[in-house]
Amino acid sequence: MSDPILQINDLCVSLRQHGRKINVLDHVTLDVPAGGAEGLVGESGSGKSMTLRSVIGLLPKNAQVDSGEIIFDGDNLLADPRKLRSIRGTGISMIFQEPAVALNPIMRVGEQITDGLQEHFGLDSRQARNQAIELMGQVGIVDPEHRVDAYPFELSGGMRQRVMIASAIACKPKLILCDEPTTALDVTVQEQVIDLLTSLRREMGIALLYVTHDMAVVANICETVTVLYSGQVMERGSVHDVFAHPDHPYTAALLHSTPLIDGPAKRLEPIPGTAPLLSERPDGCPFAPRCSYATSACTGIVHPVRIGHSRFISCTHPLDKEA
Amino acid sequence: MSTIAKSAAIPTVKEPLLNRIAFPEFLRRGNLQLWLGVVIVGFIVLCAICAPLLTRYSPTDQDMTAVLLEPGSAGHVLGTDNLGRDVLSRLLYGARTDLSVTLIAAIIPFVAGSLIGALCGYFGKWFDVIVMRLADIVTAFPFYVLVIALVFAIGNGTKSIYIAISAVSWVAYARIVRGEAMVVRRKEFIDACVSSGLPTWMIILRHVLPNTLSQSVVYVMSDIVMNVNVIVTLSFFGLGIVPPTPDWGQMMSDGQQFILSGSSWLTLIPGLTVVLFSLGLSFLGDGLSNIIKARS
Repeated sequence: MSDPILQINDLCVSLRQHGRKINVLDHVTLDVPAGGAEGLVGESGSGKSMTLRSVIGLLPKNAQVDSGEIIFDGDNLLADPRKLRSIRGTGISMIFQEPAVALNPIMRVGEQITDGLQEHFGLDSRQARNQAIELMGQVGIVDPEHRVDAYPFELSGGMRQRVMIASAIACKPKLILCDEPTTALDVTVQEQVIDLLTSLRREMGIALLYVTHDMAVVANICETVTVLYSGQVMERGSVHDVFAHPDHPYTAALLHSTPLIDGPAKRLEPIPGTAPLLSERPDGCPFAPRCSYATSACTGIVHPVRIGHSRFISCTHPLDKEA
Repeated sequence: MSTIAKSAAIPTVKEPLLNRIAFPEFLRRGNLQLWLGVVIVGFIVLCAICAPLLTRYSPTDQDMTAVLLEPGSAGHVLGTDNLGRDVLSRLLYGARTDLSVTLIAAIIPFVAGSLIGALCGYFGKWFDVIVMRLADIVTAFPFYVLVIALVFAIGNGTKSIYIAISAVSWVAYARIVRGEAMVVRRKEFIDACVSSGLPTWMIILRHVLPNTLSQSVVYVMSDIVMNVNVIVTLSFFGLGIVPPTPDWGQMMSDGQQFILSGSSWLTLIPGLTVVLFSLGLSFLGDGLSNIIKARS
């Protein structure tokens, strides 16, 4: 496996709410290999988006990074805000969930795509327009010569997401952060966008850090996956290993609760209970209250353990050992 | 059942906004206010521009042989004043003065206020607090009192009118744009701009400001009406525009001493012109805001 383009080490982020400090990310560690695709899955509120936003410095105003490092291409972005600003767009870019609100409603899409290009490479408006047409063609927008002058409301959801992707790849970044880019799209468009991202990754060697709660999408796009729960990493490893042989009870439960279209027909098993509020998270393993394997040992602090080549798990009762 | 069927059968189809050039739209929508405004203001602006073609007298030339001629006199359609100056000439050239001063005095605070408001809304924190408290202080004084005091302090002249009006009316624009900018700042496309590495000033100028302007554009129109009145009032009091530059306010104040002796047209003509012009601008502003409201 190639060197990681992005390494997140022991990232702790907290939110300040009504004078209380709530830890939303608790020693999150993951890495994205150069040109690779890492999936980040978890339920709502597990800290997926928070992890992405800390990478590019878009945390909400009441959030604060307490410790840890985010190393992109050898530089710790948390230690050097100027470095972070300089790699935005050219090193790391981001695709958002709702293309309807992630585009400026009153600016032509062509200009939005090349805003970054003009800023970073000083293109004049004629060159920028040509670049925009080329990029729009590259992301599969039909008739880019006309669409370049369209406003976002004149495009469909899928088209808008393609525009977002075009602007994300405009400056040829090494890493794209994807914040559930297909969640707001319908299934056929979803598939097209996923294919597009995969082919762009192959052609341009762009790495992806892909946040979603959709296991099927992860299986489709990513090579490695990190499972987050309540701000903690439960399990990390290659998609194949993790999905075929989950070691963490949470991963297993998550997979059991997801229908598989080509798998054997069986009852879905919901995970009992609900995810704990971040403010009321138990000490020790956050999943313990809902876990059928939990024992008194689970109330102690659990650290991720390497259990194989780039395979980590934080559980006192990994499934394989129990079996 | 039947009411549902009825309402379904008669869908209220609104004419879609087909093109961005609004001109033919006015006609179809019957936006009467806008049309009246365009006609009145357009007429006055056209007269101001064509002033040298419409009159052969200079607005400042005195003719002691033709003093206080009544309107309709040979050669002087609107008569002459106590110094024998042609009233029509003074009215037309006065329009030039008043219109341009009004416009500039509206544009400066519009630009400055919007910019300040966008900065407040985008950055918030101490900058916002300081600027908004400053705005409160300005609003605490009655508009005219503050403007007159400022012109008095700075001295006569168009420049002091610009300074005085700008110093007071930026507040409204700053407030309007600030509120909108606070909303826009939280939109995801601003995050997208940040993540694509655009510098903050560019995000504010290219993405935040344009999304906040529709309200303040409407406000500009009513502000211009206000400015006409302020400027005419100032020169009526002998502040602001310096004689012998022709101006409506000054014409009124020069003429008022002759009202009782029967030469009331000297005051009435410029007065009615101010009323007409303000009316036209109000219509224009209302018509424009109708269009902007219909779009958003």
